[in-house]
Amino acid sequence: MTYWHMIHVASNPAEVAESPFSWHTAPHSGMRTSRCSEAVSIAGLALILVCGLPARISAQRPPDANKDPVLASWQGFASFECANCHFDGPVQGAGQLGDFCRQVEAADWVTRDKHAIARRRVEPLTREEVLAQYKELKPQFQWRTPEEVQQWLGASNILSRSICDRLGYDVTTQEGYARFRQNCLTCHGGYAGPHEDAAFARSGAPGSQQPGISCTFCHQLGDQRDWLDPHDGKTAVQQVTAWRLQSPEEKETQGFRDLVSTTSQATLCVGCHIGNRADHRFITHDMYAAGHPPLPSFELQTFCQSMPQHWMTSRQLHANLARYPQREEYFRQNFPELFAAGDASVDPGKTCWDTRTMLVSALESQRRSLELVADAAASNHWGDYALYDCSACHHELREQSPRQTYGAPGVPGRPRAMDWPSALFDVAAGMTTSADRISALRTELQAAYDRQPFGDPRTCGPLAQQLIDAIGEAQQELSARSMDAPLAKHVLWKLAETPKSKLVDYHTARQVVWAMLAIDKELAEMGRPLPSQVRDALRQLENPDGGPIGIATRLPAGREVFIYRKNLDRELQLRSVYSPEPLAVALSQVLKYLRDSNDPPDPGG
Amino acid sequence: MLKRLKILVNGQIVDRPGYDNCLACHNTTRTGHDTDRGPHVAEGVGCAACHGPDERWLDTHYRAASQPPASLQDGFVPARDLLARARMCATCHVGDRDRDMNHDLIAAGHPPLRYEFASYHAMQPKHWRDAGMCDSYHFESRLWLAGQLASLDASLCLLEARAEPVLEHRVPIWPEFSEFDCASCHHNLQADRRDPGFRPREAPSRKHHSTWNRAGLEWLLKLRAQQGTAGRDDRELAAALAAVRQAMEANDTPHVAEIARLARHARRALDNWQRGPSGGQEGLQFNARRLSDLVVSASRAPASLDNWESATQFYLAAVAGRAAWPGGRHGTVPPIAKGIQLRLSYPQGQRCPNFPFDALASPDPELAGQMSLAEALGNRLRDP
Repeated sequence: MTYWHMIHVASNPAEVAESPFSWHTAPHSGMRTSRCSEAVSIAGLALILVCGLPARISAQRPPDANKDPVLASWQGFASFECANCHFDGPVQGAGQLGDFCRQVEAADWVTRDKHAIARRRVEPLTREEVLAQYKELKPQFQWRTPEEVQQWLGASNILSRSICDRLGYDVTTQEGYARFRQNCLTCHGGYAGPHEDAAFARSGAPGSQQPGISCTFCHQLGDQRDWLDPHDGKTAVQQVTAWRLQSPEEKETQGFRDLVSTTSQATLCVGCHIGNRADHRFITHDMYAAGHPPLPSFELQTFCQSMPQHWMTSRQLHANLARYPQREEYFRQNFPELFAAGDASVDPGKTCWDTRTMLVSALESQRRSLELVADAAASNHWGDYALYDCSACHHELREQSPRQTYGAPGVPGRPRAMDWPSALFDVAAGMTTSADRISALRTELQAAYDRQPFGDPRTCGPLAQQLIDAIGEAQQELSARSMDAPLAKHVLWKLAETPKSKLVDYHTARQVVWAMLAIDKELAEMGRPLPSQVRDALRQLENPDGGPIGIATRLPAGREVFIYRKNLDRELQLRSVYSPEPLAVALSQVLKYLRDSNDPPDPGG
Repeated sequence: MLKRLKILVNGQIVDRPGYDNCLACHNTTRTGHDTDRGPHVAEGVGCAACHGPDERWLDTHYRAASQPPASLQDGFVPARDLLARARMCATCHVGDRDRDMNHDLIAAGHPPLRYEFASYHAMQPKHWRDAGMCDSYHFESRLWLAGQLASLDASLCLLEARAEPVLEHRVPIWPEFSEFDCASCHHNLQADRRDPGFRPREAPSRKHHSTWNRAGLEWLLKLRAQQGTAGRDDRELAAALAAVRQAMEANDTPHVAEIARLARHARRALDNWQRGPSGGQEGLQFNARRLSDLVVSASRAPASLDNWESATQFYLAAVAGRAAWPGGRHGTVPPIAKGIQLRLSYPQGQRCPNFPFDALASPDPELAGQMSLAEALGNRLRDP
């Protein structure tokens, strides 16, 4: 019996609409009266401990701190002061504040975004500790459903404890917990150093610990808080206007991180989603082998949309500021990299922002991956398997495997550098004047990898550094390029031309699919939709759970969706049976319809 | 394969050392290496590949005056000696300094080498006569022992060569992944699947050093220790083999010079064992009963059967000693052995077993009741 079956047989059809399990059908129902017995709740918890909770409940719930220990915890932290203005939505008298921001950002973060509970999800607990905390907290929060419980306690806590045990972190001691904090909570909680030890102390009670990534982790540089007052909507209009018209560089001097720059934003995200060893944000192969789920490939635009995105997109902002007299100046000041080259054709209103994000961040993903290579080459970390493509080794030995049939980069039988960062990178770098230099350096780097298993660090390190420099120049150039609809179509064309040999790796293939879907969506939103035949062909690629193409386009994002364990099982199963054939056929169809369309993009760009 | 390895490019051999490495086993005839070929081209494994280079004995070996010792000096391999025969086969079927079937070749499509002399010997069509063949009680078990000694020695020789400073004709390949159990890495990722060979306080991502070529002899050394007959040479060999394994599994890239030293040391220990009292004693007394005792002993140490390689060697050892099975082919052992054989088979379409491999650790209610298959086999061998 499945989990959903079990809980639904407890309710008759008439009750389902009112039951706590019916959020997906009645997203904003006011009073929610549980009809499930406590026995069902405990049974559900038991099942969570075994399997994790797979279900996606897409609708928002009204925040209720009395029932939600996560929200209750965040309310107790000073860093959550952002909620004073960014929680309840626009209020009367806010003036133009509502044009610049949605004023529900903090609510989205803590009630819908997984980042906000990233730390709590990995608090290392034994099965017995989970059950004890459940019994202790149940009366306080009146938990009636497994979903409510799992916001605070679940299978991932037990997994985390198991990982710690296998890594030799005895989290029952201060020293052991400190190792966990330093190597795990840097990403899962945004732990930045000993001054935050109190917020990241070992504890099980809500409110005694920071449950996840705070607003200021992303928006503030260190502890510098000079930006708070000037940006505050409650201050004088002139002061706020002056703040808005400052450049990101000026704002950063006051501690406000530049997240308008795609490169800067991507740098922040890939620090965890790819890794940064200097900041202790790096999943070693030992951690993976101990049980950490494998990191998926990272595509910024897709990930941002899935979080869900709590900020206005640049296109939304541009439209929203239509009545704002300084709109053009605002964009010129706040998006300096877009105007850096003095390209007169740059028009924020016609810019394909999502496509731009996808391309610029592809360069950043490759750059970060290479920084890990360069760091490892300069240290004693060279040869950590985590720096190599998982699927190069982790696959069953099959007859006529796609790797043998279509070929893979380098010498057969050697661990390969990660393939996926190059999928979109090749297209993005190809649009810059650094393309030839980058291509030559990549060829040299591949040769250095081929020289011996794991590559030759004496050669790989310096070559990676040269590539990092070249990519930096390409990033500047691409960021300053006018990214209009015809160019977006050109990018789509290039992606559709991805050869089958580059689609052998699941993650690489998914990067291509995500990027193509992002372009299609953006062009449609801009009122410049692709021809219907092309769109129909692209729809074949969009399969939340794999579908005929075998690639799951949906991420297990959102606070109420759990990576561990059913989603992880599904993901790993898809990877193990993935074959590039169906995607290659689908891409050839897209390409055909692009060629047949009345307005084909210029394939030469 | 040649194209994948870039030995063959546009129909031309561009990597001569790589090609010679293939021909060292696949074509031992001189014409295979000649660029100026005549009208008749012999390709394949010639007589001399097994019987020794024939320049000095070809014209004399059939004369009555030619005795094996003299012929040995002339390069004639005394194939009547089972150990010499096993060593001869092992040069290709395991490898040596000039024959390295490494992980690059496996990844390009070459099947991994799984040499077990007794079973290979049974399957090969015979072009010779073995006087002792009708005495299966002694013959097959001695084939097994000869094979274990030869393959262990060949594997250590190959490991030493792989870890030595780069030779002129050898690409610098280290670590050499074929030294490890394929299933250590080659398995689909699955949540919550645990490596059964994991030992506390070891790095979770430890690769398993292959047990294929050493499991049999390690079981024999353990049996001798259990029976109180182990001597200094037994202990030294066991320690030397353990040191190689530990060093190979110590980190992601084993220390190459240390491995070369330890492999060299283990070869010496093996040679001492074989020439010393322990090897001499086993050589004289080894028979199917002795081999069955070894299988019984191994069945009581499930940790030594936690991977497909060891489990398969366990099965092959049991089969090589079948002359001592209680009741013979009509007894209670064959169904258990058949059950083990079925569990060792690869899943359909795969070229390696599923990971983690625990087939012999889990009971089969029909065959073994509440016991594991390995335990059941051991019990029925010990107590029919």
